[in-house]
Amino acid sequence: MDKTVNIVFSGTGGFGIITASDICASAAMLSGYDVKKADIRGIAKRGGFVMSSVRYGEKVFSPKVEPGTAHFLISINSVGKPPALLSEKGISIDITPDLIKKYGRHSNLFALGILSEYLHFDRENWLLAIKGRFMDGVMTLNTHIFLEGRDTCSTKRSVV
Amino acid sequence: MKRLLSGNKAVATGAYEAGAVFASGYPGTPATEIIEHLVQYQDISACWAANEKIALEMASGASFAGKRSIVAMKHVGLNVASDPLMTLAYTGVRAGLLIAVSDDPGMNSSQNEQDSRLYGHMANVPVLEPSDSNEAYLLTKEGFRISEKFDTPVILRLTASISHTSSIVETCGKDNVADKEVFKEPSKYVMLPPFCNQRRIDMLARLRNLEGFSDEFGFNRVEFNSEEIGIITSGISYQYAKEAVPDASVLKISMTNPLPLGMIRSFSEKIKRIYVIEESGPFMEKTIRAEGINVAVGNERLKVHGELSITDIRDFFYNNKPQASSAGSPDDGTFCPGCPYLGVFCILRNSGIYIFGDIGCYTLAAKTFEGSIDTTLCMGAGISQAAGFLKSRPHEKAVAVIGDSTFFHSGIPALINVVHHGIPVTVIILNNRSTAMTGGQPYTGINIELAKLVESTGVRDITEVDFYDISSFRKILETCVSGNETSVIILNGECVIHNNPNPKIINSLICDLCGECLKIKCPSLNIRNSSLHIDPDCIGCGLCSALCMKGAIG
Repeated sequence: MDKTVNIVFSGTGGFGIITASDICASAAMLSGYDVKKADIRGIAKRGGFVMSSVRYGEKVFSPKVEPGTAHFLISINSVGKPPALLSEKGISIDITPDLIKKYGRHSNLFALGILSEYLHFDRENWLLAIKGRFMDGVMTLNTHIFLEGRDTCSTKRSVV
Repeated sequence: MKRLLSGNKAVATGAYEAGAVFASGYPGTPATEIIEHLVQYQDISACWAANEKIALEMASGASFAGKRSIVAMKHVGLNVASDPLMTLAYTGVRAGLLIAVSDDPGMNSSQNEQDSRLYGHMANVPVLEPSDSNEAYLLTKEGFRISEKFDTPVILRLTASISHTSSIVETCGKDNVADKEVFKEPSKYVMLPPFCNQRRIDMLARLRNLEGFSDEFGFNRVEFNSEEIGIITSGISYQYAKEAVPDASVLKISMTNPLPLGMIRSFSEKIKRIYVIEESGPFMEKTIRAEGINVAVGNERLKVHGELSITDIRDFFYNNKPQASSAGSPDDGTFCPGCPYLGVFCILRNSGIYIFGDIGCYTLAAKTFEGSIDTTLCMGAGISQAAGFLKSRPHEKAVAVIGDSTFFHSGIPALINVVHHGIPVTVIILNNRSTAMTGGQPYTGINIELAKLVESTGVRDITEVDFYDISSFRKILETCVSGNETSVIILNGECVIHNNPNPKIINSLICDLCGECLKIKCPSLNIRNSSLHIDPDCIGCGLCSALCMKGAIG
């Protein structure tokens, strides 16, 4: 792979947008890629719009995803869509209200599970990245939800 | 060890590993997290100072004591700290002293846009500029070495795009740094003539040495590609330029003051067209042009304000399209649900009085409650602006609104000034017990009884009232404003950012959608599908129920 992969996480504050992008970036790093990450938080600390982007590849320069270049856009409890970030052939992963009802604040891990089926990282690197982010009790539950998301998205596709 | 770190955390990690013993600053986006991370190290004495000037003065004391020290602040904070900086450049340091300052191009959360490199130029001190977290980490460590080698404070200039983005840092562990001896040396540290005259001569000699050093500095480097296009760049602009114009030759500058002019000259001799790409002002470009080096395109034709982007650079190089300056902040901040400030500004909005604001969450009221704030200038300015206004128009009424943390930062001398001159300003202190805007850091006056402090300045008309008691506040405000002496209203309460939701319930049988409660502009309260809704994040403060004449919100 010689191209940089651009992933954008967006949604409402409090739904683990930043956590999801941290785990994704960490999994990329563990897989031996160069990786950069940019978080955009509103001034309001609660309930505001949050967006976080991850870029990985052999060598990444800018930490930011330019408009129209995102290969993946993950929306969790997103009110409206973020500015036109998705590329023409980009894949949109929407966590629907039904899923949010089911997984609540852990919906971010479900979203990561789906995303993981599209990316080239080893399963072990994802699990290590999750392990590095949570305390034991929450970690087990989050890993479980991640794997549920991964199983839901059974058709493995190749990226870009 | 490989770690994914934000620029701010990388600076903190670098400072720790470089053996910094003292750290201070005042909270301010985008620099806040540097001190927040440093607080976590047991070997470092890290504290929030009352303001940035005090932080830097404390750091200079630590340096005099022979210990490495770091201060961190946002760009406007360096204005406050610029007084000690200008003379610290004369005295120099004993142990390394690093000033980490983060600029906010595009003004995502600031009142202005500044280029802190200009302070380096003005003070004759070196400026280091990292392009990612790994460089932020390495240049922090390097900064301490340069500080000691050249006996000077060093500025580490960051921008929001460096502070708040993460990339991989290869950490190499704590350095073994010995403390310096402490001893008396007035000719170096007491800046009065003729000591200061000699120190100025020493400083200028040091600058010449630093110019030579910059040309040899390993972090300034050439990445040679084409002979057609050469880009001179620094900071985050380096990353954008590399990605936007991959075929160009690049001179990446990590020490932007003093510039490696020898290196720049030899680079420009090998290449046909030289471009200077930098965020904020044309800092490097002006110096390079002044050296007689032919710059084809620089800042003025590329972009004059706001954050730079890959799209900007690509459009310029390949689409021959100069960038229109983007106007307006991308972020529309809102108050938190149940914020104690809501009631205050709901009343101030319709008061018809001139209201001089300050820096804090309450600045948002200028947008949320139109007409409730008439000025916002800089930290601590509101009280003095109101004073100047009343001195010039004695028959008008003027109110100054200031947060508690801002009051302790720079509001106290302003209050003393007003009392001394007998100016009938009404000062409203929003005492929410935190530096709320930057995430609720504690501040130096947290254990001081505000009313007693205010009383000691000579103010006689002091009233304390609860934030949520808006009917009392309305009456007190009327009395204070109609008086002819300085008055202070202290509004007490706590910032609600960490309050748990406890939603109020609407009795839809009683609610007739009169809209009275919506005047409080609480983000939890809104009308959807022709009925009033309270969002689950409501904290149950009761500001809206107090406004409801019908008792429909309980």
